[in-house]
Amino acid sequence: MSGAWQFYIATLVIYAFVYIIAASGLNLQFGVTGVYNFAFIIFQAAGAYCTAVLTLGPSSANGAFQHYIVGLHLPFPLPLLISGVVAGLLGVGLGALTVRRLRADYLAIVMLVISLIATGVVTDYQGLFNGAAGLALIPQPFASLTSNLVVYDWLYALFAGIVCALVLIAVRMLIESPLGRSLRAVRENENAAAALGKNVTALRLLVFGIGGAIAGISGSVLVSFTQAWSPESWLYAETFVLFTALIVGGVGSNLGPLIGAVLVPVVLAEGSRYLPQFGPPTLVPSLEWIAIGVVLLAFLWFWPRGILPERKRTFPSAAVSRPLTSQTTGDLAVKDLEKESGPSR
Amino acid sequence: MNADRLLDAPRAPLLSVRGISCSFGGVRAVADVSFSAPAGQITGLIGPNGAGKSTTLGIVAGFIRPSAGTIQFAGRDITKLPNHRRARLGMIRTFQMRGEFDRLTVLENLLVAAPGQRGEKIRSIYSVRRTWRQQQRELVDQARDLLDRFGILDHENVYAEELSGGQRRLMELARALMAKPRLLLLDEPMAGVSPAMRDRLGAHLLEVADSGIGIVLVEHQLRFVEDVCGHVLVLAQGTVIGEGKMSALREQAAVLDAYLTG
Amino acid sequence: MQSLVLYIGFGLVTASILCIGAVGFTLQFGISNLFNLAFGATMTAAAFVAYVCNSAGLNIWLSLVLATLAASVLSFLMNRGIYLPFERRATGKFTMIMVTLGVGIIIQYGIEAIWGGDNFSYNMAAGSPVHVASMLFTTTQLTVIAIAAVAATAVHVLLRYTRLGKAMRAVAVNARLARNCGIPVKAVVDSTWLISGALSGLAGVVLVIDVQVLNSGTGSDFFILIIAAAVLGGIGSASGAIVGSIIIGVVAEVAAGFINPEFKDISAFIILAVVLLLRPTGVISSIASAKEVAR
Repeated sequence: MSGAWQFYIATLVIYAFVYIIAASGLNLQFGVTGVYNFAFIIFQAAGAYCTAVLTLGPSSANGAFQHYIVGLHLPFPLPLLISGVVAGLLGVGLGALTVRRLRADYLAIVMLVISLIATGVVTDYQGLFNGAAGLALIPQPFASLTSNLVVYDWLYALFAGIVCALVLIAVRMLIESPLGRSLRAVRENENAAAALGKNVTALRLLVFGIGGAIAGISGSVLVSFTQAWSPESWLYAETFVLFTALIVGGVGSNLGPLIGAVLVPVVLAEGSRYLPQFGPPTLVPSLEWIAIGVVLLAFLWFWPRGILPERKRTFPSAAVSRPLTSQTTGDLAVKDLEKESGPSR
Repeated sequence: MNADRLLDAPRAPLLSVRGISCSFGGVRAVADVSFSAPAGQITGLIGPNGAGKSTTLGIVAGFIRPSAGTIQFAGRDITKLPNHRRARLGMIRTFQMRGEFDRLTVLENLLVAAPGQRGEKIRSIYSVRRTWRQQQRELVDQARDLLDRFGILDHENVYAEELSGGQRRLMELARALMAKPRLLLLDEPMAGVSPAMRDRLGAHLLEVADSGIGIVLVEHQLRFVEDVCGHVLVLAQGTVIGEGKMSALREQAAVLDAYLTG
Repeated sequence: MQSLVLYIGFGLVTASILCIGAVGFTLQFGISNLFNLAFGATMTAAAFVAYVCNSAGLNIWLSLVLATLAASVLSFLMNRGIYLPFERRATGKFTMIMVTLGVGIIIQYGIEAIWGGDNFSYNMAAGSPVHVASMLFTTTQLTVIAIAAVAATAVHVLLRYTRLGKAMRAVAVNARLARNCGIPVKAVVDSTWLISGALSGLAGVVLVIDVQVLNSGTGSDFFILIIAAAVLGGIGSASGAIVGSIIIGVVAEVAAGFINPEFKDISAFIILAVVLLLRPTGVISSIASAKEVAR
């Protein structure tokens, strides 16, 4: 396979992993807990900017052609970890604003506005993150491992894949735990959840934080690869694309975000690359957007739960769950993991 | 089925409500309502539609803010306490309508209610030992026990939204018990439940009260109230217009009037 | 002081355009209990209809009328063809927002697919400058303000003094009660979408007449300010929309003049965000409270 092709495939794979990570974070907020965070993309942006200004050296170096805060030139993996934490805290902060009980769609509009304010502030305050031009020449992590560009890309794809797998596993463990069940209870009926002792506000803030951190991690992974980041990369429409990805893939399930992230942003955006280029240059991107809109409406009408909906949780039958002797508890622990195939009554 | 015997034993008031009032858009929904609900007793709250019974429950449980009044529970002043903290103290309420977690199964509905689950702590979820699984197995057994007693064990894996009206009430009651309550606030728990099951549940509620739990019961079915409740309050247009034993209340003119006109 | 009055003058022009759009948007919310996020796209669509007519040789003001009619029909069809079927399925509020967004995206990018990403402008005489007090306007801008004033008055008269208007207000506050009182809710809803759709078209064309530039994103860019004005004034209330428009329009221009031209939009958003967090039901909160947008 030629170098150009390898570069293209590796890039696609990395983008897919980034989208999957982001979709998982949004799924935790929207799919599992019913939190409508229409400003989701700004957390990915926060992670990206944070990684950028931590990886870059001081802005005064290199003739000060770009202006930004911080600039600590920290080594990998510090920027990634710090970005996750910063984005998570930002998430909690934003979540705190929404404690005031607004109707779901009203809240979506508040978030949308906040997203626009963020874009506006970053664009107008040049000194923050170099305004509309954005940041560039962000150093790549572990670049010293190889000087071969293609090999580096595949290495990065592996790295992104590992981060993605870790996030998916961590999120799955959360969703399948009693805490995950409480989150779903909040989604279903927050009054009933409160009546049973669940602190709905705290739970919502928790997922704002965790979801925000995950979004930040996705941004960090993306920016360290693309080496550039500007307001163009995080317009509010990106949040819309992620929501569509979830609705298509399956809301609330563990693999739904994976399918949705691959199908919507990646296939829809990149698949059109293989169509013969016809018409003026804006035509094909416009058709892509129209396709996303149509796909969204079609799914909301015909398959509102998505391709892989949240599955029903069943528990092993009474005979199995009562331990017989201490020797058999080991076997029973394994059987507990198989609750997917548990008998349904 | 007679609740008289419960009145003989002296009990400290588990719940004490004094002078609560609240209005909605200029209309006085609840006006200066006071009552006590002792532990180990079933206190009934009856009255015509719109009398303010559910609103009173909502205020006691912390879902509606009163404009005046105080609430004491288990010796504490909980007037300013948020609703989920009241639930943590053992005050568990049910809802007149739509109290279920629709897209959770019946069994999951009950599991949500169990207090003190280790698996709700992040630390436990990601710890290597995963002790929360063992606790969950035990909770599943407890939940199944309750479901069996309420006759809906067969439906353990059915989504709550697919249950019939009566089955939902049963599930909600089972769920409330799963929460290890000290005081139950039940809002029309028998709506849509068959007479046979109603009798069984009435007996079950008396057992529950016997074990020391206090119950406040809002109900329309007066026979049931008479069978089960030791002390009854009558609410009409937001105020208490009578209280005492059901048999006595049946005679009171004010009560009859309220039901005919209200 | 003089420049303040000057900016206020600019603000009045912006407020006029905002007013037409905000009243339309808020009427849609009032009658259907839904935030129609495709509103900006219908504005753009109308502006392009006017462009087509105008390029074919028609006078711009005549094109405006045709475009307004087109937007009216488009909005009516959107509600009947897409929104109502979803609502009949008891679709949740947030999902409805996604539906409106989807429709808006299809319309906006449909326009871009046809006309591309270029900028266009109308074929019309440039207005001559006019001084009113210390404020500077062009005759075109004064016409825009006049149109807005007429539209706002017409809507006010409609809502307050006609049977249809009273029916619209009744349905907005409590649709079920209105139906029980014998009000033909379906017909009232249809009429409201026709009227508000016309307002969206009018706003779109008037916007382009003022800023003199048209592309596929014109309506959507301005739409955010319209949302801000409608929500600030109290969503669902037409008089609130007028109040909100004046506040947002004037504040935006004054901020642009005194602080930084780029702050025009941000200042409006920040006002909106603050209002939403402190008093979500807005200035005139009757309908917003009735619909329980905030608890």
